[in-house]
Amino acid sequence: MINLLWSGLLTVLLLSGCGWSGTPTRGPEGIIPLSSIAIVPVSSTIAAGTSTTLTAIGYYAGVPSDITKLVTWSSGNTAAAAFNYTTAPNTNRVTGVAAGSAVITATVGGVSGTYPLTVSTATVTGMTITPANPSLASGLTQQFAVSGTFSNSTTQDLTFDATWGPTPGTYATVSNDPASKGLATALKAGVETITATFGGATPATTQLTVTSPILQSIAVTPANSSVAGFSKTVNFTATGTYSDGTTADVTNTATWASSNTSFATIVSTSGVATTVAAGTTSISATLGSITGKTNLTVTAPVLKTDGLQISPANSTMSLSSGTTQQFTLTATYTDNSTQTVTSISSWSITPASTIATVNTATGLVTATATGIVTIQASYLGQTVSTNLTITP
Amino acid sequence: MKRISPILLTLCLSLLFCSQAKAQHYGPYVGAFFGGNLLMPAKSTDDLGNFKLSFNPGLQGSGVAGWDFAPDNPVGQGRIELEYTRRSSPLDKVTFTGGSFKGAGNLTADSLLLNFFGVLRDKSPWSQYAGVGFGAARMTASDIKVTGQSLASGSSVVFAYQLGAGVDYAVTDYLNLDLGYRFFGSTSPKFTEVDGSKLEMDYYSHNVVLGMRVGF
Repeated sequence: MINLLWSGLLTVLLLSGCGWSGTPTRGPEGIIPLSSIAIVPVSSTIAAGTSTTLTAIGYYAGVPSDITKLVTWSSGNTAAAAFNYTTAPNTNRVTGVAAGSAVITATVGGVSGTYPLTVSTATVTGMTITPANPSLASGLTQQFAVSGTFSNSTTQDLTFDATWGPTPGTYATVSNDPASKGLATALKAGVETITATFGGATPATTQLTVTSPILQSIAVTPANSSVAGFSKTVNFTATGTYSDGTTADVTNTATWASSNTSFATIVSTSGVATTVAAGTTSISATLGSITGKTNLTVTAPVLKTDGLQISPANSTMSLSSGTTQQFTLTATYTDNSTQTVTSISSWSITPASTIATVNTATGLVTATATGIVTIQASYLGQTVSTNLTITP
Repeated sequence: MKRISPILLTLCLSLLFCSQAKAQHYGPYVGAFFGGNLLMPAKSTDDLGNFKLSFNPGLQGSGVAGWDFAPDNPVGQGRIELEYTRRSSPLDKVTFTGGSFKGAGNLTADSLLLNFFGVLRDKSPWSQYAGVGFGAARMTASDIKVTGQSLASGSSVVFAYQLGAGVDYAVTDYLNLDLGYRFFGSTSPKFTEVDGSKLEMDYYSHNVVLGMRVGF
């Protein structure tokens, strides 16, 4: 009882004894008064027709916290700069309408912060898409960005402001949705030209090479199966799921393994497992860098009633022709399968005497005198016996 | 603390001069314990998310009334007792996403537990014990603050439990000194923030206690 209590005490201490070590998910807003707000732009000057995002940093007793999602944005001069988007994630995106300046204000809980944003007359002179000429497996996505060079020698991210193509193409499609601008999805193997268009500049292009779908995961079936008995076989199947959502049988191309071959072995090329002893092993199928696993539980077989047979039964041996006799034990299970269990049974001899002895592990009887003895063998809770008559 | 030190010193010195225990006490007893507790950093949750409350070590006091089982009791050697404890935990700091802020105020736990202790005894006056306790606790947030601003207040009655272990010295047949450790926890108490929203927090504490039990 004391040991049980100690174990429980240690378990609880391990689980909760050190307290919470997680990362907070909320700021101090609503609890500590907000003293000031600072606005941090990606670009302090933007060209007319382009946009940029702003970040609002709130200071609570001197400690900064990102409150971008909490503030309300406004422009003091909507003829120069305006907030055109009311839904996330673009509520903090300000667009340059025309050359000029505007005081941007972020407000929450009666506290405001301001920032003077300048909108220039610069025009775009060139654009570059990154990453350049990537490869992508069918079904996967790639986020593209486009950077513009302007007539005043500045550069600006135009990913949101550019128009992307193709939508859709033969091999890939690129999103123009405000929530996912420039996100390409590979459709099928081939080469697609990705374009970004803005202003009067020559559209930027890059080549996206879409390759065949790649293996993403492997499912092994039957999942978490249980088998009663030893030397039984289980045929496992591996099904691969690819990046384009298709599936294929990879049983014969995967490499199979059993984490504990004491409980079950498996043919590495076919997924055929053979049970060995009671226990649980993890069966894995690996193809390339992808592995799928499931557990195989082997339980002890269940003997039939009177399921043990010892041989030879009621035999006679003559000391003149030899002093040893090997006995064997055969088990019959509830599924009518049989197994020789001589070496995994327990052997004994009665009455214990000097007439004969038996190796308790192997069933080998050694006779030393004449007489009659009873040989017993036990396995899985059953015992069977037979007489042995020893003659001169 | 200045008043507690002479008491602890007296209890410890008494061990040097006491004689071998004569016989194991069984029957009713009462006792008193004093000690310290450390409330573990607590995950606190309100409508806007999670943040962490960290506490400084605090003091605690307990009173117990129970029954020592007779040596031939069929359930084994041990005792059963009713324990009232008051634990006080000063708030040290509050950690949000942006950083940590100075905290103030106390979180107080008044608990009433039914304890079951198993005892390992031999002919020595020393014995060791371990056990569990279950009951209820009233958690009170005594105007806990962060940077001078009220964080939460109110009280909450919750299910409470403890796991305990320790050593026991039988000074006489009727007087035992006890040095023990307790892990005390509860279901999450709920308090009220300034704006009326609910604040829910974890409560797990480590406790070390020294006390005496008097049988009669």
